[in-house]
Amino acid sequence: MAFVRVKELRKLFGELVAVEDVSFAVEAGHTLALLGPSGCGKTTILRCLAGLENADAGAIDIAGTTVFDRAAGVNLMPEQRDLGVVFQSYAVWPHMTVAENVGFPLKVRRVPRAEIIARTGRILDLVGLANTQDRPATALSGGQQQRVALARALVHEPGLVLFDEPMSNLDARLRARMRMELAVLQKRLGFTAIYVTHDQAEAFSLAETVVVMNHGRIETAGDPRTVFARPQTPFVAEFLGFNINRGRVVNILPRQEGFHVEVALADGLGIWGVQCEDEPAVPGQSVLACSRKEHIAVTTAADAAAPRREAAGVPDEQRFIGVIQAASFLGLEEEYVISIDGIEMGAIRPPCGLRAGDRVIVTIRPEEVLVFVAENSTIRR
Amino acid sequence: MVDRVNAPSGFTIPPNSLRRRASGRLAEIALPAAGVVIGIALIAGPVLATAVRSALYWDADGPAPSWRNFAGLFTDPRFYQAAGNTIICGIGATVISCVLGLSLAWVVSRTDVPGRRWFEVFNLVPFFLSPYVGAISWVYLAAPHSGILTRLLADIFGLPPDLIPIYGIGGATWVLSLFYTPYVYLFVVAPMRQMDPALEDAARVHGAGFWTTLRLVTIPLLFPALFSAALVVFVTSAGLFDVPLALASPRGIRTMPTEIFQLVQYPSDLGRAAAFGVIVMVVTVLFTVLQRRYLDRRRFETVTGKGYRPRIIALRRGGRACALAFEIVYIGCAVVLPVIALLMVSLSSIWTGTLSYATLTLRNFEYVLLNYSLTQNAILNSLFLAVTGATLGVSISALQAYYVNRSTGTQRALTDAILSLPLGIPGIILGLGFLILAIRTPLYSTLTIILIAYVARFFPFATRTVSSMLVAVNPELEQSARANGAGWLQTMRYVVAPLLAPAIIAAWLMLFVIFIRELGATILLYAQGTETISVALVVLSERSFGYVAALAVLQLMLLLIAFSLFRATRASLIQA
Repeated sequence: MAFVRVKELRKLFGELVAVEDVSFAVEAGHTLALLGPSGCGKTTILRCLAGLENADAGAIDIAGTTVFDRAAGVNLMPEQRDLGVVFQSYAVWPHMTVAENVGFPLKVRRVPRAEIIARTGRILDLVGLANTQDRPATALSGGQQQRVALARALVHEPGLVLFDEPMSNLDARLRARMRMELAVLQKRLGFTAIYVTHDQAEAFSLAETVVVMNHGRIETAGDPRTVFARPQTPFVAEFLGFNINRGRVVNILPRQEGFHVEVALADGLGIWGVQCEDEPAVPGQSVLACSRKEHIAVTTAADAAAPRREAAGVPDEQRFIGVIQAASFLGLEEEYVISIDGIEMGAIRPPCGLRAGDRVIVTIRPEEVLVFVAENSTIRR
Repeated sequence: MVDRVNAPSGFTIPPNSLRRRASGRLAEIALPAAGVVIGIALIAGPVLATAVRSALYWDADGPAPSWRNFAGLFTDPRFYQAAGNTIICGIGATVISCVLGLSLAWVVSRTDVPGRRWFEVFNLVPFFLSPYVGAISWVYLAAPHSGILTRLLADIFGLPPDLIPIYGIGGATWVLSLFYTPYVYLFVVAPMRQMDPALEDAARVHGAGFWTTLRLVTIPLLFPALFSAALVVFVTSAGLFDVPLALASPRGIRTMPTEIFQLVQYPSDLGRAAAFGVIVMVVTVLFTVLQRRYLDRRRFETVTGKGYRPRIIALRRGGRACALAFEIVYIGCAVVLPVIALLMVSLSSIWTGTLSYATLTLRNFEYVLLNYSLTQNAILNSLFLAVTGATLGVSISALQAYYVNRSTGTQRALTDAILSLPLGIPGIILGLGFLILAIRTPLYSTLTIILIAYVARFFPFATRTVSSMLVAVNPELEQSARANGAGWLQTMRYVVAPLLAPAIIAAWLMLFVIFIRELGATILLYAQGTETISVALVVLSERSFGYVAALAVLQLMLLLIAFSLFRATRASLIQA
């Protein structure tokens, strides 16, 4: 039995369709991440769940209670939904102390004072803010304020906690640490979480289910490993940082399951990949070839054999000659932009000291090029 | 190197530029300082004169230092009556205008009430109207037996013809509340708009209902702004002469400002008036210090610099009707009904409480504009005072604002505090100070002394307006002009003045409005030939309703023109 169930949610802002036909479910104690670029509707879904926005169609069940059902005219007020929410801006009240902020959900539930003090103290210990009770909330640093917001969202032990990009104002180190702490807290307290973020690392590391949103619709949903390993749509591939190259189909060969497709990215530049649709593409059809930057091997032209034209059939490896356009050193890795006959591709490799202008040999395995029929895709390229 | 830079350009340095630089350096220090010195002198003169005069008592041997003025005041029951009535009026007006202003601000900024763009403008109109004219309009509306509303209520519902107690403390409080509501509205509407909506959302999702959220989160967050507004409204409404003169004096009810006015009339007791003035000033300064200290302690960062879109609440149909009705009733009471009453009275040859075709006439306007030297003079005097006063006031204010925000002076905060003092001192008390200063000089009973009093009482409004804009101007804009070779005066002329132009124009228009309607300071300083429009209204009020109404309509038109020009500058009123 799912703890949270969202059915066919739709939300319009005037003419603009912010959310359309969104359905998902979250098991009790699990985390679902809503992932997508800004403006994709993920925060609107969260606000509909919290009751801060009224959807135009659909239904929402939380813990077996229907909190919203447009057709049946059910719409509980935010305060009746018994949630915890961590806002992007933290929304820590500047006119209250830390303890007053955190104790607020208990105070409005008329919990006795002594118990409020005890529970506030306990939760503040848990989030690592012991001994800050009496300080004005805005005297704390950004990271500490975020913990206050977290403590406030957990103190009344809600079944469901909503997170609206809670880490986006933190620096990278603090973000990584908070991610781990959040996972530990959730294990310990057992709440169900819905987590809105545009940061894929955050979504993949925290969630049992990742829902990727685009233009108000669900682009793909699944467990993090599947979503990451095998993007279901070009949009997801692009969002995950794949190279996206448009081309035309020149060759189709059946493989064990589905088809291999050769895509002409430019005159005389054909690249083999795996078709993602079940229906075979037809020659001349416009397609998108998507490749993960980490899967593109780069070697200097001197220490590799010159690319050779393959005979008929799908090669094990395909090689191209390219020129490095730009290189940027990232520490453990180095990212290159390579031009192959005017077609640009990115590659991420362990640092090997290549520089702009160097001629290189680029190697890609056909199994690592995903080919999507362009007209099905929602990305604009 | 030098050759390479200079030779191709072919520029030569003008020979007089060094001298210009030197004079520029002098100007940079002297001009802003001059603005500050003039400002301090304008405040110190009347304040010190009042203080000294309050401590002098004339007996047979001439003046001698004495506490007898204060002693006389403290043993006079009229003093306690006046102080008590003024405090009641002030507290009443403060409470009512806080409730009205907060509600109006909420309705306009946070709900989907129809026509809220229009209400945003109309809620500010009373800010620009004359409280004295407002008070006499409410007499036309609600006077026993003859008031327009009184008669309507009596004719339609059979209510007693003296139902509305417009004369007295209640009536004065009512009219003061109507006129001070925009102050509160202005103070709270900006923080209400700029507050992070997530602060309220957080309360809702964590279990607080609408009213609990309002009580525990929204109002506490607005409290610093509301508290400031309340102090300003209390101090200024309690010190306002106009409304008690029109509504309390006719029933013999004493208030602080009317009592000071009485003390200056024959047989005058300037010493006792000065003692009263000193007490009021001390209380005013205490309030100002209280407000500053409070705000220093509690200034919430609800405004985080992020552009928050305020959360608009979709009201249910009943709620929308209530909100709309509330807005209409307020605008009706504060603007529409008074203006209608004025027009009706000004167009009637004899005022009987109803407009009838038989008595419809333009004669009042004709008389006031063309045939009566008092009113003709008054209009010219008011225009002269308003134009000259606004120009002088804005000039010294701009210099002061520059000094307070840009100079390296060590006492800038103190200077700022001293320069804001007149904001709280009632006009009639500053007028009294200038009367004491000028009484045996050639300035006595001239337009010049009125002009000086106007500038002294109201320049801080302009300083605040210009200052708040200067704060928003990045000093690097000026520094880069200096680095590129402009002198101080050139920087002022080509960079600072154009950037501040909207604020300077807004400040000028605001002073113009204030001076056109000013009464409290003028009433003690005018003489035959130096009457202003407001003084003429008071003088005429004993003679003819029609003339008063016609002149008031003319004044209203001047004020509304200034208001529409002010809207065009898009300046915010909040700093004032």
